Amino acid sequence: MGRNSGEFKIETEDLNVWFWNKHVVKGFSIGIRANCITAIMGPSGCGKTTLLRAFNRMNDMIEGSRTSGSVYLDGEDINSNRTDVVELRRRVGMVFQKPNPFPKSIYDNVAFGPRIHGVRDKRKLDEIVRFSLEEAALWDEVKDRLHESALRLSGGQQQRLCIARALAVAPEVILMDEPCSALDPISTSKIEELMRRLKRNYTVVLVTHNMQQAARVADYTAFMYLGELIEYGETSRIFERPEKELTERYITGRFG
Amino acid sequence: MQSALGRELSALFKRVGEMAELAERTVRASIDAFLSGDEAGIQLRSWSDELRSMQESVEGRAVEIIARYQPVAADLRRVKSLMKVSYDLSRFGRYAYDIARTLELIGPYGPCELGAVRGMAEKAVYVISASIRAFLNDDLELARGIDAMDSEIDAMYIEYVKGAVREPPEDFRCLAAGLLFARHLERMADHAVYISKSVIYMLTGQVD
Repeated sequence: MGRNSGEFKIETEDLNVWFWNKHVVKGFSIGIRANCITAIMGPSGCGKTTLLRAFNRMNDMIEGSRTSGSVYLDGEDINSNRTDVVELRRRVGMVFQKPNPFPKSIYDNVAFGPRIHGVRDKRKLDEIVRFSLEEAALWDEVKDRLHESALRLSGGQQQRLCIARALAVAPEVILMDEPCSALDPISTSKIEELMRRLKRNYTVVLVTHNMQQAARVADYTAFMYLGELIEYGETSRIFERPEKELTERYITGRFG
Repeated sequence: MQSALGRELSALFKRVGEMAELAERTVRASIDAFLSGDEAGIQLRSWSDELRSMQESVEGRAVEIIARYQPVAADLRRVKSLMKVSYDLSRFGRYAYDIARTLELIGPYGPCELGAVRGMAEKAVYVISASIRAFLNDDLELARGIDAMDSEIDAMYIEYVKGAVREPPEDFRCLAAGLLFARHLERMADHAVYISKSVIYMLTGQVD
């Protein structure tokens, strides 16, 4: 049964995730606003990535994982048995920490998803590839070498290619898991600029332990610790006057 | 072990603390000189200039801290407050010098009946010194009381101006001197309020 929650693109309610008997995400309730960048920050091992993977049921693929509570996408419970998981992952795409292009051409990387979803028409594919590369701010750099191997691109270009690949299936939400941690500052700032542009058409959720990145790009920031949501609010408030002692200690580097 | 940012903030705080001491001394000297008709322009000018240059150096260091450490939360609020407080302190110096300049501006005048403005000066010194103590000691309670003290000074200022116009002293130079003095006191008290607000913001994150 759906619920009408126009305010939030994704909403979790008392979400718990276990791997075997390890409780990784604990009683997590959060509302992710549409067309915003929401950053989830917290120390390594606090459950950020697991939380992100709960948004498109990627944890299902991990042996021993168990989930309770709810995750709603546009008000529909994604864990219901009526959910088409392939369609869910089309709507909620993901970009990973390390750029992971397929060992194929630039073109084939971007066309991969649409092909899987049944697009065969060459002109239609060309259009999608161009649109996605433009959206990912990579088109100008690669338009003359679309059939070269993606592995010949620089790290920053590869990451933008992965973003283009995610965009090619027309997602609504893009989950980014530490998308810049393997990149230099120039590539990082390009990706950040790209995120700001993408939020016009997509909802972006960013997992990062780079607090300054959250401060630079996110509209909303959540601080997560030991699987729990400690504090969540507008980024400017979180970084200027956090309400929780734990948040204060984490962001000022006086932690543990 | 304090972090590098912590050490920088302590050093900056110490510097602004030195400014605060000098600013308070400057204000007191200026008011004493005015009330006793003494010439103190040269000394006050040098202190005022010193406060101004200290303020610039504090601002420079604060910007450097922001650039190098990107402070957040309480650290960020402290940097912002130190910048603002150092500005307010430099204004104390400037108004103190302006008070000393009154004599120079309107020429020598005989003994003036200063009456009500003396009480206002006392209150102003008190509120300025209280704001500085609140800042130096992170004293939230004291900081929260400053606004009410300032309201009393504002009321005294208005009353003084009205009274001076209603029953002007014989020597118009006494009128001019009294009005300028009262005006500068009122402005200084306003900066004491700004300092108290910076202290409140620094300690709680609240702005009103």
